[in-house]
Amino acid sequence: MSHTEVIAKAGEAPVVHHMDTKTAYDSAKLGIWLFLATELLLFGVLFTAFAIFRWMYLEEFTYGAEKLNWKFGTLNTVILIFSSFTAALAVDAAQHSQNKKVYKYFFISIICAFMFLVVKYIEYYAKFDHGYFPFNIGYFASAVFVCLSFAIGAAYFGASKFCGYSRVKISIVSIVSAIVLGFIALKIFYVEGAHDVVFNTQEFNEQYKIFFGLYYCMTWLHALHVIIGLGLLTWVVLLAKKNRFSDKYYTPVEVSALYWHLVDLIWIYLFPLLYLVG
Amino acid sequence: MRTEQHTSHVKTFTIIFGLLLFFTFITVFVAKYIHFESDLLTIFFAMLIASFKAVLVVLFFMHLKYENPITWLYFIFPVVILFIMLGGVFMDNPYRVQLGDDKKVEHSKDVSAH
Repeated sequence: MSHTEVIAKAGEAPVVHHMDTKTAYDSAKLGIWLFLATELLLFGVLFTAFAIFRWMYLEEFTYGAEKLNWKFGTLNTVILIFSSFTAALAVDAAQHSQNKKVYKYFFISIICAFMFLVVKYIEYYAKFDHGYFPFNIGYFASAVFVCLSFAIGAAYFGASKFCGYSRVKISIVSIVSAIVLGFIALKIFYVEGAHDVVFNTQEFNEQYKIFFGLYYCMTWLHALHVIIGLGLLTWVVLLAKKNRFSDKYYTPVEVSALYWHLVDLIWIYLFPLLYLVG
Repeated sequence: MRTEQHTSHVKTFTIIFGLLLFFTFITVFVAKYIHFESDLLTIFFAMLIASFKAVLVVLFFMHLKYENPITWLYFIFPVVILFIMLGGVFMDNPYRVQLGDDKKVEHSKDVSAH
């Protein structure tokens, strides 16, 4: 690995021994644009699904969109546009070797990201409170059970490293327990009609389910991107605090800002589609 | 590393930010307080403004305006694919009978009458 060893100095581009710094910068940028292209297609498929199902269940979509609070949506749009603006300013500052400004602007973006997630949480909470779940609660509960037992299995797997149990045996035990727990959960929660009475009303199942399924799918995936972007911005902020960037080297700032703009870009389409026209 | 001088874009970014806010409120206003006759017209208008905002973000915030042709290609390629996909859907949808549509029942009646 010695030939790919990276030596980092403040304000200087890391020395990557198999390519010069210009090539490293250009390929990093091309890489993030290629990744953004795949992201566009990922969300594009969901938008296409939205178009198809909206045509099939027009009334359900109209009812469903009325249940969303467009004021929350507008607030989140403004928050994201503002954070995108500060991210663009941060790149500009990095190109002029102003690490303090990079720190300041990305910090504002991070606060905006947190605000976005808080608004999203309030929104989701209100929806759950009204019983607007994306799917039958039975499926949801069994998914939680399966995830939990996989987590237990992973913990055992980790423990086996130190306690010396056979890893294969523990993996088999955790997978079998996941399947069994999942079936038990399905049996408990998916008693015919019971889930309708407790969580989802019959009316909801008939009218809104298809809309809320897509709503949760799209907004949750978007929120996941916000969380990942939050991590990226935090990483860059920590680097900026060490005066890592200069006009010679600002690749991480630019790449994470590009990712953050994509998060904004997707929300620009999600907001009118879900909250306004439905 | 790069020989060209970096010019400051702060002013451009501020203008773009203002425009984005303006168009956001236009979208909300039109969708909430102006009622078009056709539902499709509302969607078309909302998507038109959204696309305009997206172009502003991509060109200026994401610096695509100043990028080399291969980056343009990387961005335009998925957009073209998306348009083909969505175009196919929009061409296909109008010729489908909506679920729960009365026409379906009438049609089946016609068939059984013959």
